[in-house]
Amino acid sequence: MSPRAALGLPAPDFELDDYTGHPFRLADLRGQKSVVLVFNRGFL
Amino acid sequence: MAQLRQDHAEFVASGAEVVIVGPDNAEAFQEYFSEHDLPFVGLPDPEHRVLRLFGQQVNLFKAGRMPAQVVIDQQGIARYAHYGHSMSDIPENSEILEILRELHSEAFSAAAPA
Repeated sequence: MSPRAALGLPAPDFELDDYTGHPFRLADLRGQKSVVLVFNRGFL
Repeated sequence: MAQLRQDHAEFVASGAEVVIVGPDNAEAFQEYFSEHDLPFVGLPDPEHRVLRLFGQQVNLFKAGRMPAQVVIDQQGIARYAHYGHSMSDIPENSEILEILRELHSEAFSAAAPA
């Protein structure tokens, strides 16, 4: 099975502080990096 | 998370940033990330702001399916999403890396002169 990616929808932008307190904004990576966004349920 | 850690160098080489979003607070992130030596961006989101934001795009997120991974290309377009049916249902790194390499070469050929 080919995992070819083709959703083609703009990801909604968001801004959150990272755990060290630095602001992270998704749109800041545009034109620079791709992003693997992982939604975690929580650390056990 | 440990699985992603193993191939961190390959994620970096494929031009990607790995960003972990979760309901835990900053202290819990700090503790977990330092304990497991995780080099990723960690975003505490106790109010599920980001999850809800993505959830508004019905095609992008099926209601409440967790865990989930979304690959976003350099233009900010979501190109791949995987929803877990259980806690252990996560895609292989190789699958995500293959997509990243594909996106990377796509971006490269788009930038190259015709």
